[in-house]
Order: sequence, then C-alpha cells, then structure tokens
Amino acid sequence: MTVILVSSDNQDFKVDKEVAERSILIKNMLEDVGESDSPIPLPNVTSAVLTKVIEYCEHHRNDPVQVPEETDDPRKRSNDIEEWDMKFMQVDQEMLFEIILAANYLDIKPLLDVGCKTVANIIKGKTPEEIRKAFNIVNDFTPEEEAQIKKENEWAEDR
Amino acid sequence: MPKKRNPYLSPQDIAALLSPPLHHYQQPHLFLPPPPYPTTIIAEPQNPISAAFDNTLITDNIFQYLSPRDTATCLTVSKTWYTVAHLHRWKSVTHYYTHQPYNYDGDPLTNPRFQWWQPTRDDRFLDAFGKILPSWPIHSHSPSPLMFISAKQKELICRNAFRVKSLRIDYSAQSLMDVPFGNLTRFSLNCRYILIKDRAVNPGGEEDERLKEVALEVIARNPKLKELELSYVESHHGWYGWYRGDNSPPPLFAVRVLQVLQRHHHQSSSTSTINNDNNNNNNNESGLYSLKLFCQGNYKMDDLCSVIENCPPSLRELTFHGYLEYYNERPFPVEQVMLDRFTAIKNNSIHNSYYTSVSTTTTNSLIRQRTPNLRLLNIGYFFPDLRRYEDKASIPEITLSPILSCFPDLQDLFLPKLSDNWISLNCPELISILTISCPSLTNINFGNNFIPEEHMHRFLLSLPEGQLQEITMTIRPDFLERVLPILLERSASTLQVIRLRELSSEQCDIHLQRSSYVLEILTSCPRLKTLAIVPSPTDPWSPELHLHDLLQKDWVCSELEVLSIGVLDLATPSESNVLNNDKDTQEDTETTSTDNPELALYRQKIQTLTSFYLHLKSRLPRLTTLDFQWSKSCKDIPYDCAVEYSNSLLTLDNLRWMGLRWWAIYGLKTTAVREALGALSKKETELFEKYMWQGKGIYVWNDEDERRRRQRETQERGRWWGETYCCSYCRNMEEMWSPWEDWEEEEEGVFEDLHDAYKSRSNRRRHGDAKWKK
Repeated sequence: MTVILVSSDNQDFKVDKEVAERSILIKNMLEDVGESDSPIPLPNVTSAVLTKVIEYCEHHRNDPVQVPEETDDPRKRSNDIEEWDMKFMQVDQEMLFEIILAANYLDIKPLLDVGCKTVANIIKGKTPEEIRKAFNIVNDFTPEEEAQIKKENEWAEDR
Repeated sequence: MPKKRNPYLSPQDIAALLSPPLHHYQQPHLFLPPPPYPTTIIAEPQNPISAAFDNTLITDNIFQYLSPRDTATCLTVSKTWYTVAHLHRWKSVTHYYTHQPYNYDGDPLTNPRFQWWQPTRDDRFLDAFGKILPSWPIHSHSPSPLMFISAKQKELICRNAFRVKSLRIDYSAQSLMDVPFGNLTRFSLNCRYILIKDRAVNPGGEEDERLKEVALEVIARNPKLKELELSYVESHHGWYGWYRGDNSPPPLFAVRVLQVLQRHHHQSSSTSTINNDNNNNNNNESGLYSLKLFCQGNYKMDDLCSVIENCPPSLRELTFHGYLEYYNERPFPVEQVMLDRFTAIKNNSIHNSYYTSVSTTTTNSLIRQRTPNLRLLNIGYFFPDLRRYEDKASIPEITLSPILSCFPDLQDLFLPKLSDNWISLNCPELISILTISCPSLTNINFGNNFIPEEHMHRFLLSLPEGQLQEITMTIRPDFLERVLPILLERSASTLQVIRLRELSSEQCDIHLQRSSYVLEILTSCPRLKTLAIVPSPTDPWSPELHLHDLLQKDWVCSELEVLSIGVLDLATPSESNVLNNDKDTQEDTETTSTDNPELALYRQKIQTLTSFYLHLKSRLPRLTTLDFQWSKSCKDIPYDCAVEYSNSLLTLDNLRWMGLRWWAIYGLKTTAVREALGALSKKETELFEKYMWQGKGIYVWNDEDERRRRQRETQERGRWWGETYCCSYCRNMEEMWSPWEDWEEEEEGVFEDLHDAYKSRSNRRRHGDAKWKK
C-alpha cells in the first residue's frame, strides 16, 4: 500500500505506507483517518527536505522501532553514528537544520537524534569564535560581558 | 447668491476618504513618520538554524551530547546562544582537587597515553606534589586549606541545584554535599588519599565515617541515580582494620550503598505488588545502570560476592577495584566457597540480597534475586603475590571462572591487573573460560597482564569472525608473526579500538621496524577510531618511527579520532647526509642555510613533521587527538631553528594538537611569548625560563585576581600559555598534568624553588611591597 505525501510547495511523493510510518505523525494520522487515498499535506516540509527524509526512511524501513528502556545507557555519545547516516548527513548546514526541524515535526526520533548528534559534533571542541564562524553568528557581547561569563564558568570540566 | 455646494459623496467616496486615516500604517499618513515595521504582515520563512535553536526539544537533544566545557563555550557565542546554553550549564557540577583515581578504562581522548595504562603516574605525581602540600597557601574564602568552593559559588550552585544532573566532586568540594540536590542521575565522589613521603594523608581530615554518612544521604536523596562512582570513600577495610584492634570488620560500605538503593526500590514499589517472576520486568526497580567502586584496603573474596549479590537487577556496568586477600579465608577452600556463592547468583537463588527489604511486605514466599545482566565488567582485583601459595585459589582463572559464568551477555571485559607484579599469565584455562563464559565479547582489555603469544593466538582464533571491536593487550615482537595477522584477518572489518603495549624485546630474536605493523593496522581496519601504541621505555623495538614509511600506502581508517603512537624520534631519510654536511642534501633542503649540522637535522625533522601533519589534516577529518610520545632526545629543538619554523602551519595550537605538549613548544619562543613573559616579575621569569622551557612547567599564582588578569593578557598574545600552564592552586589537576608527564627525579628541586618563590611573594605582599603591588 502506498501513501501520497504533499510537500509545502505542492509536490506529491508516493511512498510505501511502511516507509511513511517511520514518521509517528503520519502513522497516527493514518490510524485516525483509516483507509483513505487522500494525500497527506505536510505544510512545514519542502520538497527538497521531504526527499531527504524519505531517503532516510527508505534506508531504515526495516529497523526495529526504538523503545526507550529503563536500563538504557544514560551516557549519550555523539560519535556513534552509523556510516550511512554520517554520509547522509553530509549536507549544507541549512539543509541539516531543515532535516532536524522536519524530523521533529514528523516525529522521526532516530533521524532527529542523528541530526542533533551531527550538530553536537560540529560544536564539540571548538572555541566560541570557531562556533560563530561555523554557524555564521555575530558576537553581540561586549568584551566585559564575555569576560564575566567566562569567569563564571571557568571551572567547567570536560566530562 | 447661494454658495455652490459640493456634490454629495457616494458611500464609496466616503469610505475611500475615511479609510486612509484609519489605516495609516497601510498607507502612510501625510503627517506621520513611516512605521518602523513592515506595513503588511507576512509570515517570513525563519532561518532554519534560528528555528532549530528556538525549539527546546531540539536544543535539549543537542546539548545532551555536549560536555560541560562545550556548554560553557556555547555561553559566550552570542546572547541568543547564552539564553539557550544557560539552561544546560548547570546540568553538571564537577570539582576536583586531587587527580582522578586509577582509571584504566579512562577516556583515551583526554590523555591516550596514561589513562588506560600507567597506574604509577599518580604515585609519582602525588608524591612530588605532597612535598609542597603541608605549607600550601590558605584560600581567602575558605577556612580549610583544601576547600575551594567559595560561599558565592556555593550559593550559585544552591540556586541551581534542581538543574544539576551530574555531581562529580572530591575532598575539595565536600561542602557541596550539603546542597539539596534531588535530581541527580550521576554522582561521583573521589576521596583518594594523597601520598606524602610514602604516607597516605587525607586532605579532608580524619572524617571518613562522617563522609560516608553524608555520601549515603546524597544517594538516598536521589532516587533517579543511573551512574554511581565511589572512589576510596572506604579505605583500610579488611585486615588493616583488624590490625587496628577491631574484632570484626565493619560492613562493607559498598553493600550499605546498595542497601540504600534498595530503599529507593522499596519506596517506589510500595504501592505495587512485587512480581517474583524472573522474566517479568519490574518498571519500579532502581534504575542504576553503572556502579564503579574503587576501594583502598584489603578485601575478602566474600566482599566481592556480597557486592555482586546486592547489585540491582537494572545494573549493566560494574567496576570493582581493590586488593583481594586470601589471608582471612585460607583455612577454607576459597574456590569452593566462591563457586557455591556465584552458582547461587547465577541460579537466582539468593535469599538475603536485593529483595530482602521488600520481602517483609509481601508473603514469606521465596523472593528470588534477579541477577543483573551485566554488559560490562571491570574487575581490578589483584593479589600481593600471585602463586605465592600453593593454594589453587591464587590462580586468577580459578576465581574468574565462577564470576564470569554469571554474566553470559558480557560484551566488555576489563581485567586491568590481576597481580601487583608484571607477570606472564601462563594460564591456558583463562582462555577457555573467556571463550565459554563470554561468547558475546566485543571488547577485551587485558590491561597490565601479559598473555603469552600461544594463548593469545588461541583466544583470537576462538572468537567469532567479525565480532571483536576493541582490544587492549601487551605484545612482544613474536606477536607480529601470528597474533597480529590473525587479529587483522578475523576482526579488521570491525575493530574500532586497538591499544597495544610493547613489551621489551630482550627475549625475542625478532627485530622489526615498528612502522611496518603500525602501517599494517592503518591500512586494514576501515572502522578504526583509536590506535594507541606504547613503546617499551627501556628497550624499544626500534627507536625511531619512519613517518615516510607510514605514508607509503593509503590508510583506510578515515574515521580515526585518536592516534597515539610512540614515535620517540623522527627518522629522516637523509639524516646521515645532513649530519655529514652533505653538499647535495644541503642544496635540496632549506636546511642549507646554516653551518650547524644539528640544526640542519632538526629542520629536516620539522619538515617531515609538517608533511605528516598536512597528510593527517587532509585525510583524517575526525582526528581529534594525536600523540607521538616524543622521546627526550626529540624535545630539545634548538631555539634558532624553532623560531624560524614557528610559521603559520606549525602554530603553537597545531603543535599542541599533535601532542607536542611542551618540549617542542620549548623551542618556539615566538615574539608573542616573549611579550607575555615581559608581564612577569623577574623572579617569575627566571622560574619560567628555568622550568617551563625545560619542561617542568608548573607555575603557581597565589593571587586569583592577579592570575586572571595576567591570564587574560597572555591569552590575547599566546593563548596556549594562559590556558594550559598557568594554574591557580593546582585546582584542576588536569590542567597542570601535561607539564608533569616526564618528571625526572633529579629535577625535583622545582617544588622547593616554587615554594620559596611563593613564600617570598607572600611576605612581600604582607609587608606591602610597592613593587609587587605594581
């Protein structure tokens, strides 16, 4: 069975129901509506982003659904990204954040996690100036304000 | 004549006339300035980066992967980022005065060389440090010499206590244990003694018992704990206690801790019935995931059994380090006792353990313990003299066997030290036990134990192909014939971490260039993330690593993050020519400009290093740590040469990134650093010159504000200097660790000199020396 997804720029995407249901949002919608041929509008996702999201869902269509366990490892590591996912996330920064927003909107937790890990990896180990450069941010602190913040947080540790 | 009236306006005309004043923001009124905002409301597409950082769910997800230091960095990026990062700043409070405890499985990213291998560094360091400790300066905010939490800091932490998820402290911050933390998921308390002249000194005073009680209170207040680490909170347990005149040893503190965790379980499950079915997962159980216990003193095997028996079923990672003694148990057949107890654990038939407190609220039926399904076991026990007794129990595999058989799903096994001597564990049974008991093993760390070539080969053969992900072992040259080839043949596709310690080659006839096997690994393991090799300090297989050779083939390990290889020294192809002042060589290289052959050699080495650096930068995008473990012969780069080569590529930051911590920097006396030195007093400059440049880079400021002011100044000029080497009261031992790495006994006088300098400065301040104030 296939489902038609409509992006914000009115492009139709015909995908397998199994693939579409990687999104909890779509899964719930389909369950609520029942059997229907009506296209599902996704007004917050552009066609370019939806293409990427569908590519991810296609690749992970057979993955087991994540169930948070009571005994999950509480330590979160950002360097355990699968090789395919890492290549998948090698996109320009705007697209990376578009994917994160889409994953959040569509409720695709594994994709959201991979996106956030990628962003965390960009930030890790960088100086404030390097972060500003990486995300094209203007420093709006005065030198005094910046020094004050540094002073307050100078004993932050690595782990 | 009547005045001619204007014609009546139609309703449309009236509407047209009235509408502009009513909607002046749509059509600007003649007398009003244009509006400062768009005249029409259009939903502008938001920048996705801003949109993402406006979303709390997304930022929470991102920041959970960042360390407190990275979070602190984010605070200073911009005001918007400050707002976002501030919520996460207080998720972790860490305050260490003493160095971390023996940490064999430490994160190799921070210090790949030592954290996983050499336990002796702490002793050397602390012994030296202890010499200045007795007269250590008193902090102005604290009545106790080793208290570093000021009232202001504590107040700040109190206000944010509800945000704190992780608390990692030692003696220096024990006052924080009064803060009403209630949401901790991670608690780490390090009460390690400091050694002063071979004497263990408790810098917090003789308050062991009080500290234990406070620690128990913290644990009791935080039922959401997932990770718990207690280092040396309990000391001198066991027969030391007996010698002190106690008739019976007190109950093991670790067991008391586990009993407190039982109370969490009991409280949370008081409204629900206890299900005795082993297969039924009880969601109310204590969620402790990781328990680390570093103990000081002597323990009976019985104690180890008690700890494992009392572990909550949710536990997945257990670390237990301490001396284990047989003295108390010698009259009994230890191996039989252990076998009985661990068999009981394995069969879930313990009566007096985890559910004991709960059982009173239910029927008297048998409450069966659910053995934790451990995935990681780090068991660092060792015996004073292995095989000293004829007793079979002194053979490690006899004691390991029943323990390992309880945890069939074990994936990570760490056996850092099974004896206090370097021994060859010639124990064929150990390999069989590992193979049978731990079929899912993906990570094995043999630590300081040397497994003979024959047994190691058998072990690697017994592992399923493509299963092993991490291995740490000691090797000798004869391992290159069978062990390493079989390791790469069966596990190259899955190996992510390889840590090897080269043992002396004295007893082997095989002499190989280390470059060849290092290259073999780098060209065979596509998923490799960490490669750490520690050469033998006394008898290295080959004193030089040929970087040229390493570049001969394409490396497949594009994901490499940590590369720590014992280069010791750089071999250059035309070394001999340069030394002989060969004319042709001089023409080919930049080194021709000098008559000094030694200088020319160093220049060529730096060129080699530069090309290697470029190679790494271009091919290994994820490389974060590079450590060449330079030998002493490599550190004294001539001053003239170094100045010339402190170019844009080999900057101080880059060199530091490459692990050239101080001896290479020694040579790079750039103008910026000279300027920084200009800010110091004469005495300070002398000390700096004397010790910093010679690698003994400790510098102690006794005035916090002064230190910060100078640190700010120096950061602008030579950033590395203020950050790394200028530490106040040695508050953060990590900061000052790197200059101490190669501490030599003959140069211990640095402490006395520094202390003298400190005292003279204190006197000057006390007596209002105008010069000093300036």
